[in-house]
Amino acid sequence: MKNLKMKSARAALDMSQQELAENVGVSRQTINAIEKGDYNPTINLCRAICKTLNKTLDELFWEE
Amino acid sequence: MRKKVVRIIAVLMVLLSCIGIAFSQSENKSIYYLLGMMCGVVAGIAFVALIMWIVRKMGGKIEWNCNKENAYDERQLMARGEAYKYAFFTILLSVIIASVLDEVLGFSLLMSFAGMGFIICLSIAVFATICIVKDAYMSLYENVKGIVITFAIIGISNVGIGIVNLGGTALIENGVLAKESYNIIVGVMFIYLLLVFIARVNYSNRHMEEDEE
Repeated sequence: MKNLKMKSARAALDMSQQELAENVGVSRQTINAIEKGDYNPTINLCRAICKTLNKTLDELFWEE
Repeated sequence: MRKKVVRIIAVLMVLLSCIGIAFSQSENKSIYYLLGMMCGVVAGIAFVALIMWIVRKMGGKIEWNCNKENAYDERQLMARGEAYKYAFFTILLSVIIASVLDEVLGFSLLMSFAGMGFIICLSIAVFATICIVKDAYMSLYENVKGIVITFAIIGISNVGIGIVNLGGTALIENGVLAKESYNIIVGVMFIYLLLVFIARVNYSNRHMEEDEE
């Protein structure tokens, strides 16, 4: 399932996948895989992404 | 500092083991043979240093230490673990098949130094192909240019050395792969990996814009 919340949070900060990847310390392909729903990140990576995008875990990764 | 000391010790150990191997096989061999072997080791190290220099000079980034901290992210590590699994079973199956073919059918093509080299290269190719396809080959410290230059140099030079080594003789001698074909096998593997890597990078770049939208 696609993670559109993360994609829109990144776009709101006008940040590319590459920039987010560099800030978080992963490859661009990993960010792409998370957004496409092809990869479930660990809690550590989720936290790093949330900190970079100024969002909470619930806001980005909680499915309703 | 500590890492540097460990690296120096590792290089010294490799050199000492090479000297050990040389002396253990030195019965009826002249000092020139041993010196030749030592020169071969030194030439190998010099060749690696030369590749590193060329890669850096051309703006490429390559990391020779696969165990460097945070070299791969968590998704890449998972993909690499899976690739190792397939490479392990490839080498296992290949050795079994080669042994059975030799014992049962008398087909001993792979029962030689170069034959075993072929099996090792096959498993490396399986590992690297899976890693490349899953975007887990290139570490966070490397760039595309670095890998392309390295693979191209190693591939082309090995094919060249292989052709010189063969010197007109056949790849297969008395039904087994001749040891002179080892360089060609390695070279072909690197050229194959180079093509797979370039194809994957092109595919990734083409789909990058679509992914970003």
